[in-house]
This record gives sequence, C-alpha cells and structure tokens, in this order.
Amino acid sequence: MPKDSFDSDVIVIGAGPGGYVAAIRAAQLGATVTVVEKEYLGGTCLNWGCIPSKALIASTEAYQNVLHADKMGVKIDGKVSIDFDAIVKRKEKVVTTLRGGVGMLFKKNKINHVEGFAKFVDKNTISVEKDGKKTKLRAKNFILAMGSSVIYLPVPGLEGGQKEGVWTSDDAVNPPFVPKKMLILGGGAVGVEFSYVFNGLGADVTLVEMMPTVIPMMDEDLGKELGKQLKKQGVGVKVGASLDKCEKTKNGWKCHVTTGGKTEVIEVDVVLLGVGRKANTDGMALDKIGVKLHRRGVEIVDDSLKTHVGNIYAIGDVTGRIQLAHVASAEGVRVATNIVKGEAKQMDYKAVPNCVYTVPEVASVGLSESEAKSQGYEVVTGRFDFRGLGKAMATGHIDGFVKVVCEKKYGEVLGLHMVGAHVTDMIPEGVAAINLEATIESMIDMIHAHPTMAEAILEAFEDAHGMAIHK
Amino acid sequence: MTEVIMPKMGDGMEEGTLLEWLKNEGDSVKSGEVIGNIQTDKAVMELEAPGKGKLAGILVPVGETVPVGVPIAALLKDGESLPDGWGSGAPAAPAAEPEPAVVAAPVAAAPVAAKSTGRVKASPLAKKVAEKAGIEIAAVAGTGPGGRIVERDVRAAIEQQSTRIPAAPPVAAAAEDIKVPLNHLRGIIAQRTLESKQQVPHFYVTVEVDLERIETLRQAFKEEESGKVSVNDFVVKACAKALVDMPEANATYGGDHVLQFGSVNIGVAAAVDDGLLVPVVKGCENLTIRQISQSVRDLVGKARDGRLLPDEMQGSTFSISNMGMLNVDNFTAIINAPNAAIVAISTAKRVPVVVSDDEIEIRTVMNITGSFDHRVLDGASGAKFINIIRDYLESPTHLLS
Ligand SMILES: Cc1cc2nc3c(=O)[nH]c(=O)nc-3n(C[C@H](O)[C@H](O)[C@H](O)COP(=O)(O)OP(=O)(O)OC[C@H]3O[C@@H](n4cnc5c(N)ncnc54)[C@H](O)[C@@H]3O)c2cc1C
Repeated sequence: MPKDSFDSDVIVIGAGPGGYVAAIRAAQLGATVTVVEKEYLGGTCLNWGCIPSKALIASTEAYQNVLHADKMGVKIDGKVSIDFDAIVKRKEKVVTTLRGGVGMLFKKNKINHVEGFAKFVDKNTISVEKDGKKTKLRAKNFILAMGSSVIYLPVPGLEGGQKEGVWTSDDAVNPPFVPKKMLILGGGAVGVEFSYVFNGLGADVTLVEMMPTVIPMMDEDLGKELGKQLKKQGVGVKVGASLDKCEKTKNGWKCHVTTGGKTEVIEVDVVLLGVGRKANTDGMALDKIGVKLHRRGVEIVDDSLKTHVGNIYAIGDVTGRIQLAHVASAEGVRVATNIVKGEAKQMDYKAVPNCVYTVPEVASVGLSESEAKSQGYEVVTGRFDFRGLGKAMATGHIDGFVKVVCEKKYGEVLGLHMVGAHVTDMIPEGVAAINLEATIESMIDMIHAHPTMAEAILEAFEDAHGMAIHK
Repeated sequence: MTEVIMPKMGDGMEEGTLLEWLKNEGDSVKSGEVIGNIQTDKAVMELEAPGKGKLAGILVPVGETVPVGVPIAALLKDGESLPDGWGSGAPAAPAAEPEPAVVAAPVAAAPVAAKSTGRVKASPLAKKVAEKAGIEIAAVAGTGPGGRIVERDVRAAIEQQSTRIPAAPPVAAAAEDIKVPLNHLRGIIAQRTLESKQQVPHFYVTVEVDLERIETLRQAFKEEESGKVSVNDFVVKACAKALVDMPEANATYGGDHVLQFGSVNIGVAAAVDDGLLVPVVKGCENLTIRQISQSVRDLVGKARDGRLLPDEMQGSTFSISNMGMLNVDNFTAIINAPNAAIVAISTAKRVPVVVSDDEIEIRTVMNITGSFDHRVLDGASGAKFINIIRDYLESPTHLLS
C-alpha cells in the first residue's frame, strides 16, 4: 500500500454515544468513515449504562405505581408481584433494538463498521485484532472514543466478582436475581438509581456515601431532598459514611460502615460498587505514537479536543472529564465538524445538563448556589415547591421543588436545579436559558402552559424576582 | 432639618415613583419608620424615615416620578421650620449619594445619535449589561449565532470605551493633568468611530477641484441678490447627483449582499459644542440646490441648538464632512457606518495651477477626499465616483436644475 493512501478520512475508535455520533456527523459532512468497535454498538451508554438502567427503573416504577394504586382510587384484587425474568428480558429487548438502530444508521450513512480491538501502529495506522486475525487500517484523522469501564474499587477484605456477591454496575444492569440485602457503595447517579431499583423491587438496601449528601456533584439542596425521599421509600441512606472493610460470610459480606465516628456492621448478600470507572486506553500503544495520557485518561490540549498528536482527537469518557453520554455526543459532533470543515472550534461547557433518573427525578444545569458564590457572583435564588401547583396535586406528584440561581446585578440565569417528577424532561428550559443568556426578567416574560410541572420554573424565577404568585 | 430624598434602593435604580405617603405633613415619625411606598422599576419598596421629626414640606405628590437623590420631603425637629425657598427647585445637594451619576435626565434629553429603532438581535443579558453600562446596544457588533449580540460583545465594547476612560486617576498625577469625563455624545462618537475604523476596510481617493466656475456663479448670485448659496451646498448637490449616477456608492454592506438604497439621504457632519452630529438631508435626489441649502441650514442650526430629533439623524446613505472653514489642506474622514462612503471637503485656496497650453494661472481650488468601504467598492469605482463629483463641481450649471 503506498504510504499516503488512506482507507478513510476518519477512523473512529469506539461506538459509544461519542463515537457513533461523531461517525455519523462526519459521514453526513461528506467524509469516508470507519468505526472500529471491539464489543457492541452503542457502547457503555446503550449496553450497560443509561439505557438498561432506565429500563429497569421503568419496570420498578410501574410495579410501585401498581402497589400504590389505591392512592389514586384504583383497587387491585389479588397478589401483585414482579416477574423478574420478564423485567430483564424486556430490558434486553430495548437494548438490542437500539443497538440494531445504530447499525441501521451506519448503513444509511455508508459507514464502514469494523469489529475488533484497535491498536496504533503509527499516527495514521491502526491494527485491528479480531479472533486472532489482524487487519491494518489507515486514515488521515482519528477520533478516540474508547469510553470507560468499571473498575473494582479497593475495599479492605472485599474480593471476588459476581459469584462472590461483589457487583459492579455491569452486573447490576444484568442482575441474576434481586438480592435480599445489599449495600451500595457511592451515592452518585449510579448508586442512587440502583438504590431506587433494588429497593423498589424488594431488596433491603443500604446506601453508603462519603459526602454529606447523596448526589454530591449537584446543588446540595437537591441531594438533601433526594436523600429524604429515598429514606421515605425505605432505603437506608448513610451519608458522611465510609465502608471501612468487609468480611466474607457464608452467603455474602459483613460490612463495617462508619458514620460520624460510629461503626456498625451490616450483613448483606451483595455489595454493589456504584463508583469507579477507568478510561479504556490500555494496550493501544497510544503513548508510543505521542498521544499523552494523564491519570484519568487521554490528555487533550484544549476544548477543541485535539490530543498531543495533531490528527488525533479524543471525546467522551476516555478524556476523563465529564462522564455523560450527551456530552460525549456533543463533543463527537464538534470534533467531526472540526475535522471535516477544517475548523478548530472549542466546546462550550457552560450549560451541561446533569440528570438522575430516580423517583423522584433530579435535574440540574449550570452553577449550583455554592459554585456561583465561590466564583464571586452576587447571587439571588428563587425556589418553588411543586406542591403549590395544580398539576402536581392532580397527578399526585407533590414532592420536590425547583431552585433557580441567578446573578443579582443583571439577573443573568446561572443555574436551574430541580427534584421531582418529570424534571429531567424539563431541564432543556434551563439549558436554553443559560445558552441564550436569559435574564430573570426574560424568563418571567415567557408564558408557561397550565397545568404543567414546568410552571414551577416560572414561579421560581418569579420568586427570585421577589414575587412568586402561588408562594 | 433632615431631608428625605428619593433613596437608591437597588443597583440599577435611577428613579422612583411615589406610590403613597403613609404619613401626613405634621405627623411625628421615628427614624426608620416607614413613611411611604415607592415603586422602582423592579419592585415596590418601603420609604423609611432617614431620621426623626415631623414630616413637612412634601415636594412629591403621589404618582410622581423623580430621580434618585432628589429631595422629596423634610423632617423637622422641634422649633425648626422649612428653609426659605424649600422646594423652589434650587438644587439641593443630594444628601445620600454625592455621585452625580443620578442626574441622568439632561443627558437623555440631549439629541443622541441614531437611537436604535426596531429589533436588535441581542441576548437579554447583553441588553441588560449594555443598559447598565450606558452603551447603545445597536452599535455593538454581534459575534453570537447569526450575528446575535451576546454578553461578551458588550463586555468588549465596554472594554474599548474604558480604555479611553482611565478607571482611576494615576496615583501621583502631575498637577497639570486634567481628567475630563466623557459626556454622552463623546462616548458615542468614540465608539462609533472606533468601530467604523476597526470594522470597515477604508481606502481613500483624493482629487483637486477647480472652483473657479462655482466662485463665478456664487458671485453672480450675490450680485443679483438671489440669495446666498455656499460651496457646501454645491458639494451636497454634486454628491447627490453623483450618487444617482453611481448607485453603487449609495449603498451599505450587508454581510452576504450589498444593499443599494433607493433614495439619496446625505448626512452632513456638523460640529457642535461638545462634539459632532450628523443631521441627514433626506431625499436629496429630488431637491434643488436651493432646497438643499435651506434644509442644511435648518438642520445644522437645530443641531447647534440641541434641538435635532432622533429621526433627523437617522437613515443616511452617504455622508459629507466639511472642514472648509477650518483652514486645512486635506484630510480623510472616517466612514459614517453603515454608509459605504464619505467625502471630506478641505479649504478652498488660491494656488498656481497649470492650465491648458502649459500656462500657469492663479485659481481657487480645493481638495476633496473620498473614503470608501472596500467591501462595497473597489479602487476604480472610488476613483470614478470622486471624479464624477469633481466634474459636477467644475461644471456647476448642471447643479442648478
Ligand atoms: C450504570 C450507568 C448508568 C449511566 N447512566 C447515564 C445516564 O443516564 N445519562 C448519561 O448521560 N450518562 C450515563 N452514564 C454514562 C455514559 O454511559 C457514558 O458517559 C457514555 O457511555 C460515554 O460514552 P463514550 O462514547 O465516551 O464511551 P462508551 O459508551 O464507553 O463507548 C466506548 C466504546 O469503545 C469501545 N472500545 C474501547 N476500546 C476500544 C478499542 N481499543 N478498540 C475498539 N473499540 C474499543 C468499547 O467497547 C465501547 O463500546 C451511565 C453510565 C453507567 C455505567
């Protein structure tokens, strides 16, 4: 093969929400594109992350709704129970359908899908290995989108895998059974979502989080509220707590959990590690061709997402920055456009929505109150509880609230933070507000449909302005 | 006596409306007691007594709006009475806020160049920041999607302005340095000219115009006592005709197109006390030189008296800057964006000129220099245009119809 002949303009390594979206956009813009994927199309998000977890949550919520249907005046005679196999099968069907969808999109956009593990030979060549067979592929540009995988966080005494009752999120989305008693380590999005699922399906769940609230990456009012709601549902929420060590028992683990200086021993069948992921960079000879790595993943030189090798870009989880599917996709679109159009535009991370799909849901975008203050803003906040809304009362979704964080002098919208039913579907209003540089005054000028849960956003902005109508 | 002034109850507050007095004249009030309600642009706020005493001399009736810092009533201690002339409008020193920033009214009343009408594509935050900084948002160049003006654009504009206004006096300022704060008009001129010079690629073409025939004509006008016509009037008329002949110059750059205007509206720069205004003579293509002359005289007079209406400073399609009376040999003018061209008129002089047959004659000539937006016109068109003006000025009977 002559030295400067290429198989494609762009090779994307990894077909998660970062890689597959980048590939499609590059193809739409006219590039010839190859995607190398060692496992399943859709990556973590579609196969082990966002989608299967949401499918399990949906089944759990359906079960809970039936259990509590009497509150809505619906009487159920006879026993209500779950068919766990059917729940897992349904989830599996959702995942395979979506996976097939990505494959269809590749065909439609004439994207060359190569199965196997990619490793760099030089900065324009990779070798792809599948079942012991190696193929060389050359391209002008590469997009690294290898994502991340679970790792086992070291806990003294805790050893083994699924068989020994030590689960990661990969096991939790393919659960062999509903444990009777389980301890979930880490109160981030993954930890609280599985707490909701397994508690809702009948497990006795203890959730251990080191920080003073669950979902500590969000405005602390949200974590407080979610912690309260999960407790109400029966989850043993322990915040400011640590899992010091575990001892193996016949059927599981004795867990030593310290909260505020007091240690208790909790016996469980399963310990679920809800934290700990690692960028997938091993065995690819990245350092050999000059792509620099840092502790958490591939190092990029700036927000145009170039690596230290000019024709190689990195997006999504593999950069060790924001680990969210929609960020990976947005970075994919940016990089694909930059490559094909020869631009060097930077990502803007000012308005990245962050959602948690528990019941109630949590959604947040922009600066939290404490972040805004520590960045030197003079802050005004507004808050409105859903219970003040007609829609919330009518549908029985009165828990939770909306909180807005704004800058005082100009009324600039800095953050929107919500906990309650359907809030993940309401967060785009906050994204638009921040991206379009809305002010409090411009927000309260917008007519919100009645009756909707989103009226609480209007009211919270009114509150920040000093005049909520229903407060 | 303690003055009760319209308090500043928020960062952006410039004036307040008295909603109600909760106390009557003669009532005794304690310090901090709520004596009335005030409506600001944001909320209804309570007016607290700034001291104790009897409420007296209410100057602001319910419903009236006054600027922050202005006295609105007084509090009298036992034995005190209102000073003579209380409320006669004598400028009482604003007690709480010595900053004169609160007297926004006279500035607002002064004619402001091209107050933006119509929709400005700008983010709400950008508008707010501009408003608080006293920047004309329409004059800010937008860099957001589709040219939308976003916060960083306004910040950049403020930055540009503030490089002109040192934020603080130098620590050991030499005694003879005087800091003259920019008045509103200066601020606008500064911003407009900077923007034009930065954003419009200018090029310049100069020609010498022989004024002999115009001088002869003017002399005839004078002798026949048919009313004065100035050189400037001839220039305006010549430009109007040249613009009709060459609509390419009567245009503006539109990003993906050039817009050629249907009518010829000529802005005539006029020096005023505190700066420069550009009143616009509209529809010049249909005006006789007499009508132009009259119109220019009216507008410039109004400009000098500060009586120009915003509408009379808007909508120019071309401009003229005349320094004829200032004894200059030649100068170049900054394009009055969004126009595509401006012509600079210098002082007419008697100079030796080589005429036909290589003879030397003393004649009256003047330099005129066109500044052109290279995005709209190229050198050759600029040269052609300035020569058309010259031809008209050198054959002025064409200008009399
Ligand atoms: C339980 C769970 C729930 C989650 N829920 C959400 C959620 O609700 N919302 C959200 O936004 N995010 C969620 N996430 C995070 C989200 O899944 C990730 O941020 C997202 O998948 C990152 O996308 P990516 O394209 O960067 O990488 P990935 O999705 O990890 O995809 C990388 C792909 O690259 C492949 N690959 C790796 N190395 C090679 C190689 N050398 N050669 C070939 N192929 C290779 C991998 O097999 C993989 O398919 C969740 C994560 C987990 C674990």
